[in-house]
Amino acid sequence: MRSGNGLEALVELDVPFIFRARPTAVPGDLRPAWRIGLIVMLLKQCCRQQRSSLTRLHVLNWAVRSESNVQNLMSLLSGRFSPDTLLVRFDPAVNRAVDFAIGEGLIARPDGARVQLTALGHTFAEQIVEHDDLFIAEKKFTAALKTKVSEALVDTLFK
Amino acid sequence: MRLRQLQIRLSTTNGPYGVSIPFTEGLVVIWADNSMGKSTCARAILVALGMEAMLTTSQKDLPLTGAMTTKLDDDGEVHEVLESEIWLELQNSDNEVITVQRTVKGSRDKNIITVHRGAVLSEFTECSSVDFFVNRAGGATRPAGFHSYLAEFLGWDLPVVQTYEGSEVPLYLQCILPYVMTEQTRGWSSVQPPVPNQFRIRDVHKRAVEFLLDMDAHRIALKRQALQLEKNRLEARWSSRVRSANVLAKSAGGIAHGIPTEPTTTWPPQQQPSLKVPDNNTWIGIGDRLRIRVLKQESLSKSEVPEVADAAAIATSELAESEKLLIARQAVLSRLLEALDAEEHEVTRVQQRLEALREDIAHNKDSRTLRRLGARTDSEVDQGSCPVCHQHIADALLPLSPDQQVMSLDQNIKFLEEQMRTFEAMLEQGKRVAAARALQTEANRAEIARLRERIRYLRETLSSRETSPSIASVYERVELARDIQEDEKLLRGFGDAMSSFDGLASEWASLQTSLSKLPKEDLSASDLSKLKLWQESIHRQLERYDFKSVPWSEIELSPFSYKPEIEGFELQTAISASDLIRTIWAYQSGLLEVARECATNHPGLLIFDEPRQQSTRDVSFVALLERASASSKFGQQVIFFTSEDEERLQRHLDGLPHTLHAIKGRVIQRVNRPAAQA
Repeated sequence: MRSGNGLEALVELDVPFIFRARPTAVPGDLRPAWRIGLIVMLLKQCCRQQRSSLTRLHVLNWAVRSESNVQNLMSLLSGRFSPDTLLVRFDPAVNRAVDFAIGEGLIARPDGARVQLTALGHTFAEQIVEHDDLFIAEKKFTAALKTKVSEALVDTLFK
Repeated sequence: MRLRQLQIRLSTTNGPYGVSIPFTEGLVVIWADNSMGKSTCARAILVALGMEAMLTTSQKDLPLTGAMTTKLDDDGEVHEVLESEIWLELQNSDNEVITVQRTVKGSRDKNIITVHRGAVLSEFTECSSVDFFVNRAGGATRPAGFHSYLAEFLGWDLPVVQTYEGSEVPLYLQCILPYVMTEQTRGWSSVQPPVPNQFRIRDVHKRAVEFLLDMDAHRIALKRQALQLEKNRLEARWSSRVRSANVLAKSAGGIAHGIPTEPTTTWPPQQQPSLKVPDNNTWIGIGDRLRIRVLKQESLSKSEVPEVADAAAIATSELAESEKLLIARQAVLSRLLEALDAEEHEVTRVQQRLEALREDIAHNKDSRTLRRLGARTDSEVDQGSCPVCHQHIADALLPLSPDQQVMSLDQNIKFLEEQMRTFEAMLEQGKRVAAARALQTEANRAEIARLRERIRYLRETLSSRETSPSIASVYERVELARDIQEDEKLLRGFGDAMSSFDGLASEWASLQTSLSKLPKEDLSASDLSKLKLWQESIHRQLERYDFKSVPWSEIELSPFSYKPEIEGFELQTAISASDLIRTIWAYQSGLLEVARECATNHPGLLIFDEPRQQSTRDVSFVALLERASASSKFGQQVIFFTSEDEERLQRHLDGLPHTLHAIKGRVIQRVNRPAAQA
């Protein structure tokens, strides 16, 4: 292999080549609209006063991503699991989505650590909850979790 | 059909009452003032013919006014009705005359209609009478049913039509007569007359028009339907044969190979179907296996069953051979199991992948829905710019290289759905491979069991007395005979199954020929010419009736619904109320006029109860009367019941061939002669 990017071989083939950049497929859960919607719904359904620390938001976001995560969290709630057996994944996309949501005025940050739904965010969340075709799987999980995942519980997870 | 006379006979506490209306050929106008009992007469005609289903869904009460059933009002005096009857004299195209009699109130069953075979009302002839029933199952099919009799009297062979439930019934007269008689209360509300829907006949309007104009369309449609049904039946039979062949193959641990899943016109197909069974590591035809087994049996039968002493040497080497083979087989089995495991794993992996794709599609669709929610209508993020600094941002929470484009939601969904299709195909394929592998594994296991048995017999042979016959040889022979028998049975069974396809294929071929012979459209050439005549008649009439809503020349009869349309839209929705009345006149008279030029089933009779001339203009009504008066030239009959101002009516009718029957005061009046005659 000579230097360069390996395209030299194409020159010798002597046929016209066209390179066209194709758009990238994005996993559906990494679309801003989807994640913002999820966060707003989590704040509405699973947090007292529609307010939460970012850490808890991460835990909730991780929980509703799969059946087994929810079950693990439920076992922890009923005391059958010791907190250190859970491995919560922090998704950087949550932080980005929270930033966008704040930018759009759906949530606000009343103090440094916590986020809270605004009036607009509240309306949005209600529209999501009422829409039967939206977040079908996720709604099942939030219905099971309700507001049981407290800040105190989240604290025990990371201590 | 022509009406000759209607008679209503009542018996009240104040003696007999009644009315008698004679009808001549051509235009007949029955005049009476409003609410004097004109419509009762019109309805009485329908009731006499057992057509009350056109007016009501009630099975209990006949749709007639109280004057005929309970109390009669005669100039302020109220008399109780004791008995009432309707008599109607009719004539068919062969000039045969009958008189029907129906009791409305009285001791006779009102579901019985008596037919007197003669002109009882106008000529007082003596004749024989027969009772027929109406409103009961079979009224239109059984010989004792009045409608079956009436259809025969009219020379009608009622077509068999389908109901919504899929059963077949005759096209009931109650569904045809609305095209002949426009009834006052509901008849003037739509171009195609209201037809009783309790019979639940599919496309009832279409069928009625097709019947009245004696069109081929229905027959062609029926033929098509029958062929379609036959096609479905053949397809079902074909696939059930395929299924049973597969079951047979499976019972032999094999597969049926090369049977076309869809019916074919020729049999056998180019590649002869065969029953393949596993043999070592490949598949062979059942016939080949049988041949090998028979050859082996032949070679065995050439020699006696050897004694142990003679067989020992061979048995020893055979034992060694068998044991070697067993080990090889076991090695193969373990490889097979490994492969099966891998393949099954592959299937689950593909299933998981499909699940993930499904989830991803759901997420993308969620995003699409979320964007449309009210609270997000002017979201800047969704428009692709940052809500804070208004710079361009990609529609993703992923860090991307600066010039990397992301797919739009719709593109992304399409992209994922395409992947799903691929993976679904992979899943199909994977499952098929795994199933075949499982079959092979089974066969291998069976082979190993057989080898083990053989080894046992060989060992027993070697350890038994020298003079006894070799057990292994005996068993080998017995087993071989059994296997051969089994294979023969399978081969025969499969052959039978295959030959049964032969008949199906030829049925399929003839079905395909019949299908290709059917015209592409349901309408035949003569149908089209009838429709054209009808449409022209409607055009000419609308022009004369002063139809203004749309240019009349652009109105067309739909070849599908036979409704008048304008530029492909139903005419009724585009015209004024008075023009609707004009269109109804033209539509119904049009049918009558087509019957003057072509062979149709139209009875040549038209009855308009209160043709709503008030809502049109005088000029239109005059034109209608003029048009209708032509009917006498063709032996047809048009009957109007009207309460138009008498003087004006006289003026309108001036110079037209017609019969005017004007009734002053109440239509049903006291009569001096006794009502009962027949």
